[in-house]
Amino acid sequence: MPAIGEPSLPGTEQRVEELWARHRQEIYKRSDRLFAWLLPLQWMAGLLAALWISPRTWDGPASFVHPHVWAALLLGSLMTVWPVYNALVRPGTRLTRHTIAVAQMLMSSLLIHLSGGRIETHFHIFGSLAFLAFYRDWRLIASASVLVIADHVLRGIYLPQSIFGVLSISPARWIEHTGWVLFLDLFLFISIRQSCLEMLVIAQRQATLEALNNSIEQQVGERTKEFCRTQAMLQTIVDHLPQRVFLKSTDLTFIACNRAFAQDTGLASPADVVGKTDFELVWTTDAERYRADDIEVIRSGIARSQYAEIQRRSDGSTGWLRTSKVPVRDADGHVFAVLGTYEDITEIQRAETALQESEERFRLGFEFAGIGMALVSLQGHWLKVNQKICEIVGYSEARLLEITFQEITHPEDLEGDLALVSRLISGELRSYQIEKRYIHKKGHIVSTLLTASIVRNSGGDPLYFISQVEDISERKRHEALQKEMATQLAGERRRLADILNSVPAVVFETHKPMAGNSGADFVSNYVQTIYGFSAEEWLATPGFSLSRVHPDDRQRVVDVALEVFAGRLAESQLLFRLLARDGRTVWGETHLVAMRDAAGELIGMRGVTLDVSARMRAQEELQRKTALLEAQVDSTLDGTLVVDMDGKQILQSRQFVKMWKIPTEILARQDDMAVVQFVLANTKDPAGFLEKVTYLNSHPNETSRDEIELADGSVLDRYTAPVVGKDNTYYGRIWTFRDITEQKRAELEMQRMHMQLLDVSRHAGMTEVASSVLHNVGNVLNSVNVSCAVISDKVRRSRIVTVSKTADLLQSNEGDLSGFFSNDPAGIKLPRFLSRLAQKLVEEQSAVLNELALLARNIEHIKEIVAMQQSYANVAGVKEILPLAGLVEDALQMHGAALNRHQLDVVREFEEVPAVCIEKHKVLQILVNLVQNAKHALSESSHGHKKLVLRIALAGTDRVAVSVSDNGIGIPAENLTRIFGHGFTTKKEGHGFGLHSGVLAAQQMGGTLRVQSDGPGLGATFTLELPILTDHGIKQN
Amino acid sequence: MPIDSLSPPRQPLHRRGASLFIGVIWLGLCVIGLAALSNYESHAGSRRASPALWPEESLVERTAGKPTLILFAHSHCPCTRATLGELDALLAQNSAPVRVHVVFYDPTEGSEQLPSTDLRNVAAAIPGVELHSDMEGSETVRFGADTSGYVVFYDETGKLGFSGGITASRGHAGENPGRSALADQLNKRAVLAASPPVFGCPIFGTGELRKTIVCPQ
Repeated sequence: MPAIGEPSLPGTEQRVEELWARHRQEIYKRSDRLFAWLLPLQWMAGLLAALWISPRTWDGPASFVHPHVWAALLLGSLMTVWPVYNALVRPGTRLTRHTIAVAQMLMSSLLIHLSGGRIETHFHIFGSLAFLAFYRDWRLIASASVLVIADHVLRGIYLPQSIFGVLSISPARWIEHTGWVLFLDLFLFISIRQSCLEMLVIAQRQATLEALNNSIEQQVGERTKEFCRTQAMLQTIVDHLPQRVFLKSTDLTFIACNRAFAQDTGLASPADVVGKTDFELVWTTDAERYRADDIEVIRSGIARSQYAEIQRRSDGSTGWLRTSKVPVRDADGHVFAVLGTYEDITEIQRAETALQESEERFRLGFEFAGIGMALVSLQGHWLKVNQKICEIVGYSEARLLEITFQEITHPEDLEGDLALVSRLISGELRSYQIEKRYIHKKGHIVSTLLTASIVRNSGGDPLYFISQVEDISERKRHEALQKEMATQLAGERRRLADILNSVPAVVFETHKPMAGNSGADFVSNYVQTIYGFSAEEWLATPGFSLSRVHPDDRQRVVDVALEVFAGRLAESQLLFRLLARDGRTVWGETHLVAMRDAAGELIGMRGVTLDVSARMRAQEELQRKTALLEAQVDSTLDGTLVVDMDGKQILQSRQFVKMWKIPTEILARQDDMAVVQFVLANTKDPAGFLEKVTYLNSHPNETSRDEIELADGSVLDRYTAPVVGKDNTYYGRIWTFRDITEQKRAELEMQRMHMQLLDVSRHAGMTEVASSVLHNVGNVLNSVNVSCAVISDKVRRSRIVTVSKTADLLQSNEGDLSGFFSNDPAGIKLPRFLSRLAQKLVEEQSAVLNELALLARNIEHIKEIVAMQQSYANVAGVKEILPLAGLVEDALQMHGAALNRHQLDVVREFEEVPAVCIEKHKVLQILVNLVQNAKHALSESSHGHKKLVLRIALAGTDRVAVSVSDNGIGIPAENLTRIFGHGFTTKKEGHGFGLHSGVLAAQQMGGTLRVQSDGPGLGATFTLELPILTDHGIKQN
Repeated sequence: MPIDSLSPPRQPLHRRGASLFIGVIWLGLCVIGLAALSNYESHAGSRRASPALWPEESLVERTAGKPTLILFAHSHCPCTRATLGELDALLAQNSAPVRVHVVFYDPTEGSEQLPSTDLRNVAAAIPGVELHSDMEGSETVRFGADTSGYVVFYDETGKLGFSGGITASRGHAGENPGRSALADQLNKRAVLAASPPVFGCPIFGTGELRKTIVCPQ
């Protein structure tokens, strides 16, 4: 077997061989049968052809049966009979096949003869080979081909005319014929091989299918057995089910049922029920209803489950059934039957009715219970709740059934509750009762009394809890209130005791001895602090307190106490002494009050004793100090008045009375208002005086000093300050008055002298300006002198004398000038001499003219300085609006030569500022002074780069500042405060007037002059600030 | 299962030998039969000499300057069907001008005219062929024809160029030397006259059956 085709299952190789061989054998036999028919047909065809083509042969006028007819009949039958016999008797044998193949070729030869050698008949050979290929056996093709080829070869060689019609034939002729046969054979061989392979594949597939089929059949057999077992088992189960089971076809006849159902029908076995309808069974009256249900299930295809229905029985009784009907579908999903089951639930129905009644009673008791009741699952879900519990927790029933009790239990109570629940579930507890808090829906806490028990099924498994919840919020609130009140009461008592014990006084109660009450006496613990006896010691001995009273005061104390006990005195205050444990005498101030009961009966007295020993000592000390103070006050020259915080006079010195000339009668009246009226009447400005006093009374912490002028012209220096204790307690105010009439007169005199001094200073400043101007002029005059000296020297050394000598020489040779110039050696040199002289004279003239120009500029400079001085002198005392930058430039111009000489770097930093209204000469005086001071500071400094900065800038919104800064020798800090003082100077030639007068001038213009220096060697800055005044301001000024 | 078991039960050796023997005998008989058949078909007919020049007394018309071909046939000879087929093929392949006659003779007694046989219908279907009925057989005899299917060819000069058959055997169609020689004559490729054997039924019979025809002069 060729190793090709599809892979076959393992173990099927032999089966493949078998199938393949069988298939081939079938083909052989089938082909044999085919040729068993074909050969006779060919025979008949040949005979008919012979009869039709050449039935007779002629010999002149006579005719005979044509030999072809005999050949067709006899030879054809010979060629047909034997192979047909073999095909019928021995089909499938190799000999048969090969006999048929040879016969077929012989038949071709015969037919060719019969057809007169028609070329078309030769196709029979190829057709026969194709037919033989039906056998799918290449050997047959080979046998037939060998016969044909042998015929052609042999006859071609030996009898060429018999086959080719010629006597001599080329070998290529039969080779060609043989070649065509082999050509066909080649295709047939390929086709046969392909067919054989396909047969093999078919055999392999069939073998595989058979193997699979056997496997499937085996499985089916096993499954069938299993199905039979299952069916038998199912039948057994169904037969022994208490439920009735039946199966109805779609025409509503019973197909099957179990024994229980058959018993219900009263029939002997399920077989008796099969084929019947409900109308033929005992429940004829209910049959229509049953069938209607069946039809509905069949029509809708929807099962009906577990519905109750009534069944009337044959004995006339009725029972309840719980029925289910299910549509049964075939493989296509079509309903072909109804499966019905039912069970008798009459007893269950009865029990359920009883249970419903019981449940209804329970429900009513549950629903309308006075307390909250609920069924709760083991997980905590509310299963059933009554209205009361809904009211307790504030949730609706629907909402409550969605949540668990854990969600609304107070977190602090949940753990304990769950622990009890666990014990309940485990059976450790049968029920428990706790107080627990729920969180109401509105957020507040609801206190409840929870009683929980558990319900179990018959097997003892827990099912759910029954919870009874009683709202005890009101009770808890009362309890909490009572508890809080008790706590408050105890606290109050404790606090009262603490207060009494913490009071720095002895509080005591003493009951009346004959009152017959049992009230205990009381004394606070402070008694030990004051007197050294404990409260217990104090109360242990009756009359102990009286025994400790100083003997000198005892009778007085006893009298008052008796008066109080007698009811004649409701309260009293006593100051007496007591003897302490350590022998000290303690002053006590006692306040006694009669103590009565609710009926108004006197039952004792209650008192408070304060230790006033310190006060008594302080009082003595105060009296002593007051005496000293009065003496001290009276001994000063100033008039002193002390008033308390209400303005009441406490103390007035004799000097005060004398200073204000207060009459004795007014003093004698000790009437503050009279004194005030008198004082006001003696002042020139009583309203202002009173206003000041009123203001200070409302501002107790302020001090004040002013002067008041009395009506008689005298002036008093009034000073007042608050009297404040160590703890800043305001006790009152002290007023001191000093007669400064003479002092004021001296001050006026001093002011007048100061004004005079100011004028002197101003003149001195003017002198300074003048000296500065003259100094500048002097400097220029130095240059003038130098220029004059140079001119004078130039003129004195002029060669003009040489010209005169030359003229004399020429005049001496006037007679023979030509000879002089020709022969005289001097005359010969004279023209050259004159040329050089003229050149010298021109140079001299140029030098003199230059010096004269310089001289003229110096004189012009002097003129400018003088003119400037004159212009300042003319405008003195007049205010005008000027640009400050111009004045600063003028001040610099006045020191121009000196600044150049000292090689100072002058820096101008001028901002745009509005023009200011100033007195030109005062500002210029200040600026000249400042520039000169700066120049001095720089000239004395060893600083390499000497820099003078002049700056103009705004100072705020209404002032403009001009500053002059230098990096010169600077100013020591101690000199900064007195540099503007009159006569203060650090310069050898200074007068101490410049800056002083500058400050005064600045103040007169409403401005300021300041200095700032970081110390010696660090330079200094002087700043002049001037107000910016408008025209309106100018007019007002 | 062994493959051999699927085959027909093997016969005993002697029976298989007998079958084989019978088969060989059967084959031999068949071969002999076929050989006899072949021998019959390849047996040439008798012939006589034909006139070397066109006999002017012939009733068959001849066109001067045009070759003439005459086929003589027995009216019932089945073998001549193959000769007519060869003639038809020859004429179809020939382009040279030739006048073709087919002369039928019916040796059967009593017929007034030649029957319209199948063979005559075949000849009539060949284009350009003139049919003649040689009632007396004189024209057949005149041209020396003795076997049905005998063909004579006279060139345009009236000279005999071919005489004989144009089939390989009796009633056997297909290429043969006679037809080739005739084609050569038609196309003037042959120099010598050809006279191949003729295969067909004896026109006048053989032996005692032979009918004597006197050819009129």
